[in-house]
Amino acid sequence: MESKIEEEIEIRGPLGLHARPAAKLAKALAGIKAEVRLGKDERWVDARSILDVLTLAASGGTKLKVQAEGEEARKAVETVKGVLEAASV
Amino acid sequence: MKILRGLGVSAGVAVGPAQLIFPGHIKVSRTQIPPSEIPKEIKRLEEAIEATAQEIQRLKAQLPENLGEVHAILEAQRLIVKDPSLSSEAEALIRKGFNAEWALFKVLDRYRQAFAELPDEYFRERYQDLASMVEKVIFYLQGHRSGNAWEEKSIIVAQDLSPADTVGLKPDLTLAFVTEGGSRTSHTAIVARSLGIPAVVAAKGVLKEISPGDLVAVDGTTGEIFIAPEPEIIAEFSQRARRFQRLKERLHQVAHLEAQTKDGRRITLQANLDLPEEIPFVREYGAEGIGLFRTEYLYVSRRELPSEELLFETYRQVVESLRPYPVTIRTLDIGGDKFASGLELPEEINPALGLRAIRLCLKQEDLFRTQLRAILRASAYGQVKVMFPLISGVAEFLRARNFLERIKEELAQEGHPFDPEIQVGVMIEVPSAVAVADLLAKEADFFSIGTNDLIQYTLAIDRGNEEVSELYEPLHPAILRLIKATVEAGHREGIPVSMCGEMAGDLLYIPLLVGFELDELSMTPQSIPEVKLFIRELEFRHCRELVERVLHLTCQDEVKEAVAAVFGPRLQEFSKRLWSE
Repeated sequence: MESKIEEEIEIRGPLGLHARPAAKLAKALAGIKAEVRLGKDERWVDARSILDVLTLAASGGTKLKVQAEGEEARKAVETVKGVLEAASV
Repeated sequence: MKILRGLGVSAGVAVGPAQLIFPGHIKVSRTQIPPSEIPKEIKRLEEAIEATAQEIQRLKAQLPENLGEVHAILEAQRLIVKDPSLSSEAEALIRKGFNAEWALFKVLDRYRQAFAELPDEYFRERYQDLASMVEKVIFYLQGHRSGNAWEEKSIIVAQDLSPADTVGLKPDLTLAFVTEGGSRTSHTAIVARSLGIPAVVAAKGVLKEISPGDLVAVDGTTGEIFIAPEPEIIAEFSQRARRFQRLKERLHQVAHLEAQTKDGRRITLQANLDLPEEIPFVREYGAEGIGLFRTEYLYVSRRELPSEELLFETYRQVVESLRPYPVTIRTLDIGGDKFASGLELPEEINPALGLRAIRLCLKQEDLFRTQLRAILRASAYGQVKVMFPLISGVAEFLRARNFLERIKEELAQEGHPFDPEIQVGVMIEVPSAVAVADLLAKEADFFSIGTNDLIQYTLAIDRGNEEVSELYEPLHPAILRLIKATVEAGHREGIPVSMCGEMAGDLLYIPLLVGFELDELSMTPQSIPEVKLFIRELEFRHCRELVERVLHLTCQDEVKEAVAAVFGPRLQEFSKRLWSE
């Protein structure tokens, strides 16, 4: 079983990773057994915290790193990708 | 009686007592918590957070299902209150012996600094969402229980309102919103429109002029605010209210009808669009496409210039949701009265005659290239037209058009799909463009008359200048002749001519515009049903006769009289029927 995974994802949509997708992300990650972090320019934040995710100011076109660690790390990364790729508004 | 003016952002009218709201005035004191009391203090914090989250949940549950936009905004706010970082940071401070209120206040302050440093305006402004939520939690901790202090239907007056405030104000007790701050794109405006509550924003002076309990009349279409209105005004407003209600009811019945005169002249009615969020209204009001998509919002709302991707995604979203109808995108019309924080522009003595719109784009090619690439790429997803603002002559238009052709080649080489036949139009708003309209018509695929600037430049009147604003006359014979000359020049070359200024949405002008043989009229979406129904009552030949007559008149008053003599009774009868049927 993988314990730590890191992948890169590009943020789409005119507003970028704004409040609503950040909220969706926090909800989708609830109950998944893994620590999930998002990183931009070597700054890392808890993916479950809307506030910290917003302070990344990830506008459209930004490349973010997703890092997950724990029992369900793979599921966590796929969830993040799923939510952020669907959120093009 | 006193009259103030703001920006009408949500249609409808209301008359009622004012209720003033002053948010953002919390006072927090710092107390020491003894170690033995710390677990209890943490529990107090958790309970306050939970109670606030539940209050938002309750607000959400009361809202109709179809307000998806508002639900999503509230859900984001609920999750912000319950944010794990917020509570864990506050908890850590409580463990050091601070009281819960002070701990929250300190955490809020840390986020204030973190958000203030963000480069993008959208993200910076989210601090307000957090602040309004934390205030609610602190209020709860201090023993205040939220809920409206009043049970009477009121007009809400405030500096600005957070989305949660806006819906928290119980729609059935809220007659209208009036805010001192805000803009067309602020959350208050969007939420008010989805809830169908009239709203006026950017109303300077309302907090100073209005006292709690004052009778106020508000028109969310015109942006007028009457304080202590006289009886005639109140009567006038109840007429406006009835009229608006009738229109809303008939809206669905007329959305599918064609705008066609009794004798068969068909006119295309389109909508002016500022924000992608307004697309549901565009469709609801039966617009046949977008006649003017203003794209400045993406430039003025942020610190840096928008990227090609950002522009492309925005245009694509609009174009896809309007399909099969066309979307006419006006290229950047910035400079003059507008301001782009991402651009270094020199101070100008006379900005209206200075470096703006197409002039700026032709000088700053990178700026222009980014936007044209985004527009062309979006053209692969539906029907897109592009038009250049402030064109003053043929050479200028050809420079812009050739530049577009070069960008098409670039995109083709890179393998990006786009519509190679994309229609390219001229905005007719400088008098010199009308003088050479016959030559421009040979080069352009369509004309679109922008009346606001055309009137300003033709009559040399700055409408924003109170000293001369009464000289701003849409029915000045010069303006009428310019419109006629533009249409004739376009039609001689077989290209369509549309109008996208404020004139196009005013019933009084419609008989003239139909008589001028304009092909398309583009207006705020809310005006479309009324204009459509009126056109269906007109006869094209009467409109043409009217045009023939007014072209010989010498001043605006004579023109008005002539229009009123033929169409006045009909317009009155039409309006009466509209709200009595």
